[in-house]
Amino acid sequence: MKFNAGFTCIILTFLLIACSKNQTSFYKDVEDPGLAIFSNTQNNIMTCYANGRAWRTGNRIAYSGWGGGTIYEIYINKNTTTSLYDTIVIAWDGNWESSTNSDSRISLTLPIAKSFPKSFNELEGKRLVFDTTQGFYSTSMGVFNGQTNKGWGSIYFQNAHIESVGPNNFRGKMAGLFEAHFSTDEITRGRFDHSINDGNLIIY
Amino acid sequence: MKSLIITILTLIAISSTGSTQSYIEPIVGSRFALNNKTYKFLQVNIGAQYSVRKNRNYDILLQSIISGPIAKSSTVQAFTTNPLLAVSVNIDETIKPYTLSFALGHRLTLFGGEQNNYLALLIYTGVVYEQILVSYAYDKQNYIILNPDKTQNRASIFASGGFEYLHKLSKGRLFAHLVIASPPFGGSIKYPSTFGFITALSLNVGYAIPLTKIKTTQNH
Repeated sequence: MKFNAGFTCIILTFLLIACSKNQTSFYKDVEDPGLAIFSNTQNNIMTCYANGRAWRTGNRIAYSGWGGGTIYEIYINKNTTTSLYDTIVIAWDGNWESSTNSDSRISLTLPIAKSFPKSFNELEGKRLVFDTTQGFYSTSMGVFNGQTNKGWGSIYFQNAHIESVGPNNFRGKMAGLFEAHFSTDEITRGRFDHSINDGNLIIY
Repeated sequence: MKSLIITILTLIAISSTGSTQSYIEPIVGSRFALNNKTYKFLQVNIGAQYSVRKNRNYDILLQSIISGPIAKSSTVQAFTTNPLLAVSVNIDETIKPYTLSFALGHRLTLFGGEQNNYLALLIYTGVVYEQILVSYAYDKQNYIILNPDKTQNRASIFASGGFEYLHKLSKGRLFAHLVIASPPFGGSIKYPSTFGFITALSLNVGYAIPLTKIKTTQNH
């Protein structure tokens, strides 16, 4: 039986498309055009206004079979330091409302007690207000002209829970609201709702 | 719509024959949601049906009913990142379901067709429009609702069925019926709502007013 290259490409493309699953659910908020609702059901999305323009994280896409893996919309890096506190960096990858690709990032760096994941779970129900000394935002968003200076603001964790389910194996969830201010720019009405696993939780 | 016009024309044709009796039947009652664990919707029904009694065991019906809401309210939570305000507040959520239906029905006498009191089986199919209106009263500038509901609308086909007790009077008939109606067909709501379109149990009463004179000896 002969297969030509074109036929093989079509089959491979079909297999790749057929084996991917979108794990993000976007439900429009009727009060805030362009944004998703504020939810705590692990819809795997963050949306906000960046200088009044809707911005969203990319879709979480899980590929199965050959070449499998997951493209995440959020990564949480927990970094061990030699100081009194460790840090967590929450990084959201996304783009403007109309695109589900990710070409810019909003990050939040927070100090956290060394008792991770207990210290992370203690964020649940807390509203943190910080200047750039106790935590800070940063972004690579184009609208901010590539601005990399630190931003201040607040974040509320409606839920924040990570548990160990085996050696170096964690599962969890995180949902809440946030806002960030930079010298001339601002991020407002941000809301996030994610599931967490070993793929997007990176512990150093 | 085409089938509705055909049905109306059929009813007119049937009622114009010499051996039938036609009625106009005002209806009032209530409608209870059998689904929706969070919100047990309750509605008030007002409507009318045009019936043509072909013989003592069978009526064909054309029904229109509008169901208005008895509003349900509950409390949901909203949150803010503004440090000058309370981090969360309870706010009122009000939900009002409206339903408008047009249906072709069949009334089949089960027992007592020759007596003054009799029991009938009802079967309806038709079109329905349902709107479940959601509203919140809160500080929208500063707070954001967690897992909000959203107004839902759907127009589709539906089916219903039930039993009816009728009592013949010297002029016309009194009746009461219990009917279960499906929600508008079309699957579940594509939104994380705390409610769904309504599967309803209706309890209605009505009076059948004769429109045309009886031309056979035993028709109503």
